[in-house]
Amino acid sequence: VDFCGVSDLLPKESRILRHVPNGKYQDGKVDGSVFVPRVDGEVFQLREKLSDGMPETGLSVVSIDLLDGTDVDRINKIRATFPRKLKPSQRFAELTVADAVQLVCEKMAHLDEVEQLANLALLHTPIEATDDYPEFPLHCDITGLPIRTNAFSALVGEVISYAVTHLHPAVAEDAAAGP
Amino acid sequence: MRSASAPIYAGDFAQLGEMTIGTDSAPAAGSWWSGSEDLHDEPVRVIHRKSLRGAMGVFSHDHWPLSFIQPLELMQLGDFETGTEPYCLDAKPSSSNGASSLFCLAAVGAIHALSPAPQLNLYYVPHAITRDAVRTSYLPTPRLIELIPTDSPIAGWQLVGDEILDSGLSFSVLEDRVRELRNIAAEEEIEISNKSLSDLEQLFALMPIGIPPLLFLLDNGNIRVSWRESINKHASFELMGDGEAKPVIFSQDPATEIRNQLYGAVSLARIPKLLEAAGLDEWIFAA
Repeated sequence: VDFCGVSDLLPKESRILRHVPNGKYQDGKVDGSVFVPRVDGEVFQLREKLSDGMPETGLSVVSIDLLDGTDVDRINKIRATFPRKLKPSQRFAELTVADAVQLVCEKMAHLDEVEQLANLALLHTPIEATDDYPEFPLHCDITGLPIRTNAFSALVGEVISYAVTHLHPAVAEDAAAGP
Repeated sequence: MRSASAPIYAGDFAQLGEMTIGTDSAPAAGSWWSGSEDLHDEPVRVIHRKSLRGAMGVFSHDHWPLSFIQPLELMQLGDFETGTEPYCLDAKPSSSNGASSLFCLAAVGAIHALSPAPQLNLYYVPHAITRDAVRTSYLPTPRLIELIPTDSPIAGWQLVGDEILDSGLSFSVLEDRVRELRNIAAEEEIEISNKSLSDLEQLFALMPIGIPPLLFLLDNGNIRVSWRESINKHASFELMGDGEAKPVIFSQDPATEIRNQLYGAVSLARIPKLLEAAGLDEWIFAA
C-alpha cells in the first residue's frame, strides 16, 4: 500500500479512540477539530490534561489493541480508567489508523503539504496514577500532526474525521441511566 | 435630514415612511440619511436572493432601527447590477409596524448609495475594502430607482424579468442547536464567541441555504458550520467572528472526477461563490 509519504512509524493497523467533547459531534458526525492537537502558546483557552496539568502537544488517543477481550469489554475498561471525568453527553470516536492514512493519501497525496505528515508517530505514553485517577496504560500520543496554528491542520482534521467508524458513548448507557 | 457627508452607517429610517420613492421622486443625494450614528453593532439580517443576474439582498431586522453598516458585505455578494435596472421588491409589510416596506427602501438605497466606482470590482478585492474606506470613498449617492408599489400583487423578492426565487432556510432552524452549544460552552467553561454566532446568522442571510448545517463549538469559542455528506462532498467553515471564515471544502466533479480541496481563509461574502465554484451550491442552496 502506498502511504504517500506518511510516516512508516505509524502502526497503521492500530485501532484508537479519541475523546470527543459534546460540542464537537452532532447527528453522529464528528468535527475535524477533534483531530487537531492543541498547542501551548495559543491565544485561546488551553484546557489541561488533568493527569499531569500539561497542555496537549500530541493528539491524545487511547489504544484499543492494548487490551484483551471483546470490544465491549475493552471500551468499558477504558471508560472505567480514563483519566478525566467523563459525561454521558461525550463520546469516544473509534478509527483505525490505516483508514485515516488512506483517506489522507486519497485526498492529499498531490499536495506539497502532505510532506508535513512525514513524521507522524503513535507513541505509547502511559499515564501514571494520580490522587484522582488510576494509572492509564492505554494512553498514546499521535505526534507529527499539524497543530491548530497551521492552517493545514483544519484540512487534515476534517479528512481524519471521515475515518471514524463508531461513536461510543463516553459513559455506558446503562450507567448513564443510573440505578 | 443629514447631508451626504454624514456617516453612512447612520440608520434610522423612520422618516422614510413619509417619503415617496419612485422614478419621479428619487431623493437627492444623501437626503435620506438620518438618525443615530451608533447603531453599527446592532445585528442585521441580510436576506440574500440569488437571481439570474447576480445577487440581490436586503436588510431586515426584528426591530427598528436598521443599521447601515452592512452594505459593503452586501455588495460583495456578486455581480449585481448597480445601474438603473428596476428592481421589483416585495413591499408588503410583514409586520404590524410596516417595517418590511422600509427594509426594501433601505436595501435599495444601500445598494445604490454604495455602488462601487466602475473600475473597482469589489467581489475580487473584498479584503482591501474597509468600512472606513466606504465612508470616505463611496459617499452615498442614491441613484434613480423604481419600486413596485406597496400594493403590488407580487409576493416575495424578485428581480424584474427573472423568475420568482424561493427562499432558503431561516436561521431560526438552528436555534435549538445554538442554545445547546451555549449550554455546552458554559459547562465546558468555554467562552462562546457571539461574534462567530453573528457571522453564522449573516451567512444564512448571504445565501439561500437549503440544508441545515451541523454546528460545532471549537475550543476557541468559535463556531464551525459544516455540511458533511462524504469525503468528496464536504464544506465547513470556522466562523472567525470578524467577517472571515476558515473553509475546508472537498468536492468532486462527477464528469471529470477532478477532486477539489480547499482550505485557508475567506471573507463571509465570498462563501456563496466559493460553494458555486466547488460545485456544491446545488447541494447546499435551496432549489
